[in-house]
Amino acid sequence: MGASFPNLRLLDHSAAARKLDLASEVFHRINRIIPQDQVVLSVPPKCRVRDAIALLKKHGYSQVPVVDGSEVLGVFSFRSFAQEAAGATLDEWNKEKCAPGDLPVDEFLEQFEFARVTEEMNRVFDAMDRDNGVLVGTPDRLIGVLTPMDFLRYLYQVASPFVMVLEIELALRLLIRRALTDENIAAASRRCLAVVYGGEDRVPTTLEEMTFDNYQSLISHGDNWAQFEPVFGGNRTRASAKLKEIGAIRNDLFHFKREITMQDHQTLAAHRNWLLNKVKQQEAHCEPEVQP
Amino acid sequence: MSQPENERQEPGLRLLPHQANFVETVFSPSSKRIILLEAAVGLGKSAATVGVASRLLRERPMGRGLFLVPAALRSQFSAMLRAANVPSVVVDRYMYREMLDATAAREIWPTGKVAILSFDFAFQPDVQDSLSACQWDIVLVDEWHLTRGVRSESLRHITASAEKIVLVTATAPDMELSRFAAGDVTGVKWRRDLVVDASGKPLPTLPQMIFHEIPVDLSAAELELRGRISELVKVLLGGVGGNVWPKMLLRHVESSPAAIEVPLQRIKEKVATILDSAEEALNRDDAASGDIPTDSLDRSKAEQAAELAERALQEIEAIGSDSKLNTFGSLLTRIEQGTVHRRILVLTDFRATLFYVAAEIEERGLACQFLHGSMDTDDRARSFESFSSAGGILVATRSAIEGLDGRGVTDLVLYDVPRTQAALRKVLSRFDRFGRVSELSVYFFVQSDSDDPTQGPRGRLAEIIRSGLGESTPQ
Repeated sequence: MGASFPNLRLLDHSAAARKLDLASEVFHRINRIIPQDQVVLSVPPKCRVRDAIALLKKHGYSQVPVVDGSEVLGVFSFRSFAQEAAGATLDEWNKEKCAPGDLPVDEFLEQFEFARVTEEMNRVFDAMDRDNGVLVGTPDRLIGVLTPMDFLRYLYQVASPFVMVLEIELALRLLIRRALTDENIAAASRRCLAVVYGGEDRVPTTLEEMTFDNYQSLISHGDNWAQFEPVFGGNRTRASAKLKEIGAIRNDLFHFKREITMQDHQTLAAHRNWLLNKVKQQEAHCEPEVQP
Repeated sequence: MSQPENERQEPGLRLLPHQANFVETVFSPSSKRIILLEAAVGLGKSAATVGVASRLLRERPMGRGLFLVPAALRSQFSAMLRAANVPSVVVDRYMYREMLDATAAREIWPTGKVAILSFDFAFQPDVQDSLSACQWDIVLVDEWHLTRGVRSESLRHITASAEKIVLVTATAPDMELSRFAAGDVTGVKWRRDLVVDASGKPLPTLPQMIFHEIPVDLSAAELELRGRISELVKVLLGGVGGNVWPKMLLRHVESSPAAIEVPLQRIKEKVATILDSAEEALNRDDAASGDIPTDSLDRSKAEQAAELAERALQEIEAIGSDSKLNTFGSLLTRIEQGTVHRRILVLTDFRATLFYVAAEIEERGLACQFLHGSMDTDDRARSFESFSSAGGILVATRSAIEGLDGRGVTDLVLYDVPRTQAALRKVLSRFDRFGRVSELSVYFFVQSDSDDPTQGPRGRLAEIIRSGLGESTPQ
């Protein structure tokens, strides 16, 4: 049956599933950096310092916006409190006639910059460096709070899959070299990649020339597995499945097809650790570098 | 909002009479505020709801519609609405923030559009408050039966000021409609045998689905591994993250060694973190205050869990042959030797199993396509279109077949069988739809040496099959 079968169709294969705001999807803007599950914590201006600090400690935060109705008055933080407290004279403290913890937070405010969710992340670097935080939204509509840790987590999330894939590829090269000599790599490559490349003379014969898919084909080819089994352990299907899964994530990652999910991240990490164990086992065995 | 009979079709939509009647019912002045549609899967409920949205925005171009749907169905509804020229927007947290940022007024929800939100997102407190402050012309709830318990109260809150509420479900509702308003409901039920086509003729009876039990004999080593995982589950129950995810481990191990490996490694990492934290707490001066991480397992249990996970990983490494996979391979060969032009869909719950099964298929010299939730939409489309035009084998995860119209599939291999009758029905509904012209063979694996007829997979499956899907044929 050559033509497409009319009863088979995928309903969401168009651009329909893509988000409407393309710029937000493509560029690393403020909106992407705010944690998705962030619930903004705020306190009213007359909240006692003691209670506000207890709240900060409970949530592990170092600052909290002070909000009157929907209006942001400023930010109460350990720093704003320390600066005001240290700057006050004994006379000034005596005039208050109460412990510092009983004073309202609006006496210890500092002002953070506001950023829009659609702004570029580098727009707020200076403010972040200076204040240790940025408010997102407007003074009468607070949408989120950004901290340096949010930046760090976001950038780690973006960068770490690339680093893991790099480690995985280098580990694979090392393990392949443990199993085969350079000559055998070239011979195995010609044997299992000739069809893909349209002839033995077109086949890459060094690991540096090969693609990730080539590594997978090389390792999981039935004729080669006997040599790879002592290095990778387990059975061929499992090793092949892992490499297939890594390859699929790698292709999506390097071709910027989609965002890497938590599941992808965990899979890469687990398979990276699997290879790390294999490398460690090789080190422990201290076997000769190559087999005949 | 009623219309004459000859104008009942929505532009851009070809609704069957029962669907068009439903749209009419929703907009009829004699209908109550809440319309409850109860219909079996595969009768076109989604198309009817798109008809409702289309009619709303045609009659009220500045109207507001809200679709509350399971997260996995958001893109499907978005595509269906787009195909029917109904403006819509899928709203997630990122989009919500941009809407907040872009709108000075308190009212952020767009007019002249349908907003599509997942239940989980819509029921978050700030979003729920914002939704309930809006005057919706229609709120439509797909898979309404999923909004039980706390969600039911959230739904009542969101719909409090809606002019019409449309509840759609495939499951006989035993839910408290009184949470909305007693006596404020118009019920609509569709029965498969009463549905007719545009000319008034009953729709043709669908060819049968035939179920095939495929027994699997597990080796002693495989049974030992499953025992080890059960032991691990017992240790983990009540500890980190509650009771749900430890029980999931059993599903992972029943699926494949590939599916259980990543969770086992995660357990080792997590337990190591717990032990490190506990160690730090013990070394601190405040150890006496009991300031140990609240989600920690008892230290000895954590160590036991780490040891069991490590042993299980070693056992997986030592198992040379996978009985279920081998049985699958033989089954595949047998199906492949049957008639030509087969479309074989292999369904699993786990992406790791998908790649594992795909590796086996390729080792047998066969080609296959993938379909899983992490693929981008273009790749998914390409993969499914290739399967659709050339036939062959498609390996898919259960989550990826949401929205798929699989009437052309000839053989469905349930590598992992859904655990409940409702879940199984939902899967089969992707294939058992009007327009299917050939028999559908459904294959599922049962552990032949399970000695517990009620708890083992065989007992559970047989019960699910018998209780409404027809008898299975042991092979």
